[in-house]
Amino acid sequence: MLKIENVTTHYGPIRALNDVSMTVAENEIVCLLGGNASGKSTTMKTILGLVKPTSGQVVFLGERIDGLPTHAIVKKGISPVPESRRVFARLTIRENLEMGAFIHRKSPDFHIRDEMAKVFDLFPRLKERVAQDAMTLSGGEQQMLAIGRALMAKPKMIIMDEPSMGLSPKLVGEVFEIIQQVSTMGIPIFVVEQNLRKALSIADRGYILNGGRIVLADTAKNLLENENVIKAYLGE
Amino acid sequence: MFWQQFTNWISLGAMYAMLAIGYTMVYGIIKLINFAHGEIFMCGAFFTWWFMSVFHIPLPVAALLGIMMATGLGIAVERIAYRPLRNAPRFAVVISVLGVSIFLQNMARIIWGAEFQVFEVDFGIPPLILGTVIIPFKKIFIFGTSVICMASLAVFVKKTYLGKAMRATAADWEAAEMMGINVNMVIVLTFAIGSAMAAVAGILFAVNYNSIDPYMGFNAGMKAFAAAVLGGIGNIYGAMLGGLFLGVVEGVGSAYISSMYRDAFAFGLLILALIFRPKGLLGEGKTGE
Repeated sequence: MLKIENVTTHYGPIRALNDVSMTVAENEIVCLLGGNASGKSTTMKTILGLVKPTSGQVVFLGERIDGLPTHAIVKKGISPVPESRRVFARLTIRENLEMGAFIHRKSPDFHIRDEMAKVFDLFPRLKERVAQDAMTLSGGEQQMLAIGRALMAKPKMIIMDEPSMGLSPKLVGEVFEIIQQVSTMGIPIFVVEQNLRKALSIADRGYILNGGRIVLADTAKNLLENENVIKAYLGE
Repeated sequence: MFWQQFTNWISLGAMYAMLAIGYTMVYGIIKLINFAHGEIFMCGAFFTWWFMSVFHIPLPVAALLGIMMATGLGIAVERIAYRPLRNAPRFAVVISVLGVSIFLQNMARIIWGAEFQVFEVDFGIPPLILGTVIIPFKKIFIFGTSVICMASLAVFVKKTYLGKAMRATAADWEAAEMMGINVNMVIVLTFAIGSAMAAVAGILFAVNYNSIDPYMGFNAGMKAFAAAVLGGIGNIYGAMLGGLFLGVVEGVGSAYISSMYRDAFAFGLLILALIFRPKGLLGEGKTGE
């Protein structure tokens, strides 16, 4: 579904990604693990068109998307749950969800109420506070809003950047349960994480990134058995 | 006497408010001051005058054409002076926009001359008499038009999909892009709305003073910028309140102290605001980014 092929990305003279290739297939949860400055965020930004690769290509549903502006990539069906949520603090929860559905605002067969009802089924807490500003939500609730907002786009694929960041262990557990639930809705998920055990416990496959290179790629089960090796790569 | 003058102050304040909205909206989205905004205000008035005096088109139609042309000009300013410098140092953008401002001022001077032009409008409607207070129709027209424009904007920003997208973009443009919002489109829309408001303000200004000149945008622009900062830059409601407040302070100062210091009151107020309430009356970019 999503193919990253031999991508190298630079920030000025600094090479952040070095010949990175990975794939996400339908109905898969794929995680990308790496420590600080490993190139995780750059991979995310490259998929989203926020940085352009110097070489290589990103293909989504058979179509090259590198070089497209971010909003056009999102319209193709990739919905992001960005790092540190990035919910719109002074917009209400309803307005945040409406922004998630922005790409469908002109399609007649899109019913925003139905989509919102689905999100509220998944996150009843959001429904109770629909008219409040997003800034009044706790970190965990903001994460749910960010996921709900991504679902509003009826995405073909969701990409998540460190969904566990800044959350208590209990909430991290909840968030990963939700990720699994979203996956059962038939939406493939690409998740970038530092929390390797949690991520690998829900993922089908994983990639380990170190110094801008993929150093390991295997099924989540095999990777979990090599936990110590991975930890060494993550610098723990 | 006070209430008689008060109608002057708030109609002046409403015009500042209309102009201040453009500064604050553009700042809210791209975090830069549009120094060419006063020139859009001036051009709005001049285009309208031009259609009226050269083509003898009646005011409502001439004003509509003038607003459309000034809006187009505002969009062109964004294209020419801002967009190519999107990733440039901020200082470069300020220089570029100041250049556009000087260019437009001088173009107006070349095309229409440096002297004042008479902007004659006769509504033919008698003044409103409330006891001892006589309110000329043009004051009611100015204030009424401003209120309608500002209320429409408030509804647009609060209720419509694009208005919400605008607020989202002001809050976090990168996250807005991730929602599939074309941020460039939102920026163009922001310049268009701000420019249309500025053009309306320019026409109202011309109706009020019955005269226009190529430099009218500079002084009014500076005052409106002060009003935007006073209200809290980036905050639409702050710009509205700041404009009205500035109009009243300037009016009170020139009526009761000395009209020679008219501008000093306006900018003195700005200095006081920056010392004692640097985030403005309503706070920076709070509700209506």
